[in-house]
Amino acid sequence: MNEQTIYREQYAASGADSIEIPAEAYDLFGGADINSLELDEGMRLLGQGIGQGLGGYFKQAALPAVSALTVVLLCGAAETMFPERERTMRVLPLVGTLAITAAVCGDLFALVGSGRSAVETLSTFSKSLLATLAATGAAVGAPGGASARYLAAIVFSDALITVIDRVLIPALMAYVLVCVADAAIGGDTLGGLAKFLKTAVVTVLTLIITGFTIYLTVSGIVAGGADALTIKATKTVISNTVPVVGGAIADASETVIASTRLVKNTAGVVGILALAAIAVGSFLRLGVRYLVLKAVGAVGPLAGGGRLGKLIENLAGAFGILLGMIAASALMALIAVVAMISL
Amino acid sequence: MDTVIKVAAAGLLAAVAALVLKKDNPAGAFLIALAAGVVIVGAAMGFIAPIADFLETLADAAGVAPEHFSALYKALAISIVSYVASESCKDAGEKAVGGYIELAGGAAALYVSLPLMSDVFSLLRSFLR
Repeated sequence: MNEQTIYREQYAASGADSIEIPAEAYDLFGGADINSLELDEGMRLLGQGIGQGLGGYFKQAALPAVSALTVVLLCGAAETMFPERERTMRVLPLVGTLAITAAVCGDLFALVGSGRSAVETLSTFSKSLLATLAATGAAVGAPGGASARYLAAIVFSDALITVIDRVLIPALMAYVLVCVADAAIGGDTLGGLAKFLKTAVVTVLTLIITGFTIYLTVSGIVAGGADALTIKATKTVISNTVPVVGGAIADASETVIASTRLVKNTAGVVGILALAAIAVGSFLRLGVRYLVLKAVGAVGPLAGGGRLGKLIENLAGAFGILLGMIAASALMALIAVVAMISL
Repeated sequence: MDTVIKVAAAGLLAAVAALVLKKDNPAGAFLIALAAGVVIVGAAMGFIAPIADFLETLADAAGVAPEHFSALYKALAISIVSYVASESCKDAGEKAVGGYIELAGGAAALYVSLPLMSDVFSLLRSFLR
């Protein structure tokens, strides 16, 4: 019995393959059984699924974005018609702020819920998978290393989940509320507080990812060969694609790339594909909304609705932070799996 | 373009007539200014209506909830009416009355946005629970 067969059998025996993966994640693989896919085939199907699903994600993102754009256009048109000193006109941006909040925040709050559940699913799935891989690692003669890596992965994963759930998401909500209040009041009176909250959330998230990366680097958990050009290209792509915490995630990604060769040779492929499937749906949904709202926010000042445009940009930033949280959770789970496989 | 020229001409004529009448018949001058205001705003509505139609079409195409926009439209209409009335009062030398109209307009605009405020608060409350 070879190592890959052992991994597959233990993976199935642990019940990790029965953990519920969201239906839409299966859709990304065109309905194929993730448990029987090889890495290359899985990645190809995933790419196809992303391509097919992208139109749907844009349609979903268009509704709140068009609402927000319509409000900005209407308020911008009104602002150009009336002098600024006109008292009754001061109510219009307030009503516009409420309309944008109703249109965008309903969607944002629903996605916070699904983002939270995606992070929890990632954590639950990766814990089961890691337990299986740790047991296999111990069986093939590295009990000490397996326990240490499993423990480190669980500690960081739990820390991230707890911090996201109890600190970052409430802070993100506070940031959204402060941005809405700032747009309603006007005059950038609460802009400083909003900036502080955003910086605090980003800093905490970055610190956890950086701590995990430093731990991996110092302990030399992941070792492997990947050329510098591949690492540099991937880091550039990640830091430019993932908003807010892209830089920190890009640094952590180096460890994953360095071990890609190992992943290809193990049953961890199943775990990697399942993790990717769980994360990609939420990631795309949030990413598309982030991009669309950013574009609408950029149109705001051109349409004369500067204050409302800024509100939309800030709400897009909230989508970006949420996106960063999911990306961080997915990458940490991925790194932990890769670290475990490299035993 | 024609409408703008007509509006400008009507505005200038009314201003000259009001200026001539102001010394001997201030009430008549005020009425002329008011009538000119109504005519000019009426003409401006001809431009505003297609813009509102376009925005409505945009909102319909995206399936946007109409109640979110009705508050905005109503607030805009209230602003226009109270602005015209308040400026006319100020022009007649009744600055205080103009201020009261602005105040009433602001209160009315807030009043029409109450359902929207209520929706937003329900949304926030449901999430914070």
